[in-house]
Amino acid sequence: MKKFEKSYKDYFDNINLTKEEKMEIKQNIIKNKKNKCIFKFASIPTIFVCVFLIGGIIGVTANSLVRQFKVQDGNRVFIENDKLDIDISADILSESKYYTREALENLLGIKILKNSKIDNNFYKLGKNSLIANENKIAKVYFESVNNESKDAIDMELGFSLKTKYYNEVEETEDMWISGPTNVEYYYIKSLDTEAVIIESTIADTGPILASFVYDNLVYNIIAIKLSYNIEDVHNILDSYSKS
Amino acid sequence: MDSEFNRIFDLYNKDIYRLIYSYTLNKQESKDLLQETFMKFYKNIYKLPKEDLEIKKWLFKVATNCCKDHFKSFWKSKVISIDYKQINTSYIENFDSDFEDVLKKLNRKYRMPIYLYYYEGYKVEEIATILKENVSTIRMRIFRGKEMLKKEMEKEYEKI
Repeated sequence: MKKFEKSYKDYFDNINLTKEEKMEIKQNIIKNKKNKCIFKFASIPTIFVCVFLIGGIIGVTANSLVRQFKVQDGNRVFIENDKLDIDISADILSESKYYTREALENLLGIKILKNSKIDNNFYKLGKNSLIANENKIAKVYFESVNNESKDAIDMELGFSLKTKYYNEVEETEDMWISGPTNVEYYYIKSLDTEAVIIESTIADTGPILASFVYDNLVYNIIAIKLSYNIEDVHNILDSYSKS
Repeated sequence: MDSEFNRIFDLYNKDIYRLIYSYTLNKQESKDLLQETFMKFYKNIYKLPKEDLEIKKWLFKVATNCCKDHFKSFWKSKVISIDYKQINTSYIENFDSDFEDVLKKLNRKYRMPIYLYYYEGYKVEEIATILKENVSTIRMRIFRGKEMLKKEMEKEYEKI
């Protein structure tokens, strides 16, 4: 057998899951399916009573809070933000340019939340993040970069938006971490809104992601556990304020 | 239903996992995508072909779609790159890391055709059906991908 083919085969012969990993996957699949079936056949009157009672409690404590995201399988977040009514040529944006928050506000005609932790930093167009339709901005993501070095900072703060030109079938922005996670909801007092935080529990080095929607902009934080913890992420979320 | 699911899972999990791994080169992601693929199998278990080999092809198709969807989102690719740098190195130690480095240099679009051709032994026409591409595209990807891998392998050996 030729050298290439032998190396290739030898390599993939060693790619295996352990018995425990296989068992875990099987159980997850069967459990997931059975849970859905149980829910399907649960008594409708019981659900009705529960919804009524829970709705009443939530109504008293948080009547103004509307979550604009859904968490699925404990590690996927689907964001539900509306499209913005802006009509701007995609040519005005460039991956090689750096923008201040004010410059982006003027360019796009939108209000962007301030964050006291990064207010002197620049924003940069996320790599391959600009989706254009009819040469108009349809969807875009901006990430923060360090003021002096213009490098991405080790905790990334960014935001994304979609416009009326965005017409992909999947109308969601989604955030995802592989493997086991902890999901937490955090109330940002200054904005009277709620963020979702997903923390990888697989290793001490995994990422922590946070996301919330404000005025239909999706704000995201990506932090690495090696340098930051959940409290740091809370602090960053609390540092957002209206401009 | 569970016994049939268990039988097919035991029979093909290794092949599907390796196909997914050839695309992601990341253990944790591959586990997630394997679970997603077999979740779809479990949901459609009564609608599928009766022949085991046809089921295997169906699983390959589903796994391919899961992988493509997975990398479509800008957000996913962003997080994966961080995730990968931070987490994945611990798993790589178990594998042949030189060859893994070579594979990483190969664009994703070449990885699955090469895996299906050289490891699974499928014909070009069958691979084109599984990956929903033209026969000529697949033929070209296998040829170019192999050439690229060979070049990278030579570079690695020269280093040694």
